[in-house]
Amino acid sequence: LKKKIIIISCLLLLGGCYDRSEIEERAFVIATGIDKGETPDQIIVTFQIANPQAGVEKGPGKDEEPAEIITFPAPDFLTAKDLANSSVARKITFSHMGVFVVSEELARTDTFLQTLKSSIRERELRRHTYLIVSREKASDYIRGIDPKLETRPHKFYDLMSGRWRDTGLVPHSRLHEYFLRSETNMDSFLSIYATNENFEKKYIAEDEYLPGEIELYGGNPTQMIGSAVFKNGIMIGSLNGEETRMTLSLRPKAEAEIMLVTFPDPLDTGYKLSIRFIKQERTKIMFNKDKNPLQINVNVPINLDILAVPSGVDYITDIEKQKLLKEYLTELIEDKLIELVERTQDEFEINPFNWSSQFRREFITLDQLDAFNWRQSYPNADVKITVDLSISGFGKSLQPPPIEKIKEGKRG
Amino acid sequence: VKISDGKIGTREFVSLIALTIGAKISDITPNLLIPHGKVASWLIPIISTILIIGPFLLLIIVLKKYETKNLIEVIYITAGKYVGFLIAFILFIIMFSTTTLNSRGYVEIVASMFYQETPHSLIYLLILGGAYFIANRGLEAIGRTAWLALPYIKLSLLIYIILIWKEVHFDFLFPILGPGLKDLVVASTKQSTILGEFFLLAILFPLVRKTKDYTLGSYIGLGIAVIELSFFLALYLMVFDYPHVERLGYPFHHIARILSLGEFISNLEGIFLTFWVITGVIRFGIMLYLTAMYFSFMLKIKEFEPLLLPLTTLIFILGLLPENVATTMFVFRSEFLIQGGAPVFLFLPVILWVLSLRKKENAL
Repeated sequence: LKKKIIIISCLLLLGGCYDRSEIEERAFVIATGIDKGETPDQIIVTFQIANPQAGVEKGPGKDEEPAEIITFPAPDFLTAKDLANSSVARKITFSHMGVFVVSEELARTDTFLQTLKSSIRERELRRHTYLIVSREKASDYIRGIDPKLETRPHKFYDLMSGRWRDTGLVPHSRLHEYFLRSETNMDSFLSIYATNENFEKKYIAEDEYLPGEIELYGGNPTQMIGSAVFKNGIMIGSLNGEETRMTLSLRPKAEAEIMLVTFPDPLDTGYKLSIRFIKQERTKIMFNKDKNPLQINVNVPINLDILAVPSGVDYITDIEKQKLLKEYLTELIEDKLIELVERTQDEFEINPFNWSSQFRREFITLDQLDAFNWRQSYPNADVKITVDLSISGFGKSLQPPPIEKIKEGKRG
Repeated sequence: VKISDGKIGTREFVSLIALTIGAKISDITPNLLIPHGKVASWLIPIISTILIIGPFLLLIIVLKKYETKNLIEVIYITAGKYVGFLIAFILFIIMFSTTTLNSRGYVEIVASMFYQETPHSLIYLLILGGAYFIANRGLEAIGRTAWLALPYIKLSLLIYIILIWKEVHFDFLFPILGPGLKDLVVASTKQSTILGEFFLLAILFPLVRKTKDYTLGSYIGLGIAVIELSFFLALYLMVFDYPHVERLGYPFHHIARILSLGEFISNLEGIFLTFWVITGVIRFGIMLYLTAMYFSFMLKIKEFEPLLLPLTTLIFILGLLPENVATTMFVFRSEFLIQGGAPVFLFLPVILWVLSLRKKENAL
């Protein structure tokens, strides 16, 4: 009996050792890039592999590089794993991959959906890996990232992709959303748009940039701003930072809740107002599907905090001026939103605001929904947008300092 | 101190139903339902429940009449020697193949989602070994194990739901009726076998202490199981949206892989794997025990506990025969077992009831 117990307990306890894996034997890929290959059935794969020994205070790995980056051609993403082992001694593991970078060139090819689809079959790949479209080659993009504050590259990716929630300058784009949207295929999917290269620099406002256009000196060359627009799983265009923010605020579910924006001062056009833009309530979208063309009424509730008034106009205690400001901003935002909607109708012919998620509520069965054909009705739809603006706060100070007086040398 | 009488009470019976049926959310059952129900798949378990409640009430009436006899014995009494054997044989085949196919399905899940290098036969051996160990202790022990494990298993599911809640979009459940009411009812009838264990457990009728315990336990157990099935189907739809969810094998485990606690604590699926394996082992323990019961009463063998080991071995060997998950699940389970089993469960109680009425008249 004793023997039996020993044998059975060995079977139970050691059974788990078949798939054992030692951390020492693993190479953790933290970023993957894919580029278009020379032939259509080939892709160029780039793996950034973390070095856990780098940056520790003591020990042999103190001065080692934080990551190893390799690039090679492969027939698809799955077989690339084995091919990488021809030069990396450790077993390639994807379970901690943070970002998946795709070059714009590849994202715009017809076969992109299939290329990415095959990747999800990889067991270790996680659906909440962020998807980034780079303006240059993905291999160059990954090599170019050089965070000065973070020793380890994976932390940079973790933190950077999480920033969307605060700024709204880039969308929340993970492989999960990509697959979901491209299969339901009613609305478009937006992906983070990024680059390390310099494109034509310009100074506009704080958010009307595409990646590579911000005049940024020093630090990490990378710029993530704006979004790549996907239709039928393939990239068709891009939105800049401001358009991305507006897109997020037009979506039914509040995504980026608080962002800092500037608007021109209505009474003194030489200046700009700094405003905290708060959108926590749902955008209400109403449809009138009996009308032809389809009528869509959108109501966007927005709260604003006026943070800085450089012109010195007193919008805070002067109720008349406050009312004027409110009307001015309402109209301004409405105009900007409608302009964006028209652009998506004409240029993209697809809706990036997830309105279909509300539209499907209008129907009882799937057949009715399919018969209506949302994709074809949207570009011709008659969209009306109303903004419900309320000014809820004025930052930390109640009144602007009397700048004129101070300039004249008097007491403020 | 209660004296052990080999019987179980309400709470044990509730646990048996809730575990055998409730566990279906985490195997391949959702993949069999979603192609039929589409965005309204979560309605299928509810409609199925409404459909089976009538036959089930009839079954209770029949069973109450022959208080100390179990389902197979009642079938022999009412339908006679030959027809009775045929019905008993059909039920045994359903029971046996359910156990075999579902346990093999578990192996596929473990092998494709977690342990890629471990041979299938070893995983199967461990799962069935555990299940045999539980079944071998007898009904009382099975009931108690199920009752003990149930709160922990459901708690882990609750945590699972809380963690995934931020990914849920209610909009994905619309249009609310999906393929239309008619298609839904047809699908629910065809797929009502998902609640088939509910009928198969009727063989335990004389082993539950009181008739009231049995009926009450059935209702509560079925209630828990159906709510769980519906809720989780809705959850899968709300996270992945139709049609993407249709293409994901085992959505339960796909969600477990997305779960994270904040930005930095991720890769939590190992925790849920533990609870899921415990569920599976207890579930197959119950199923093995029932299989042995069906077999022995079909052949009128008095002692059925010694049959457990040979039956387990047979299930192990047969379970390894299908080549892959497509053959086990989509061909055998979906086409043969689920759609073939539905008429049996829906009509058998009616036939038994009619036969028992006739029997009474003859007796007079």
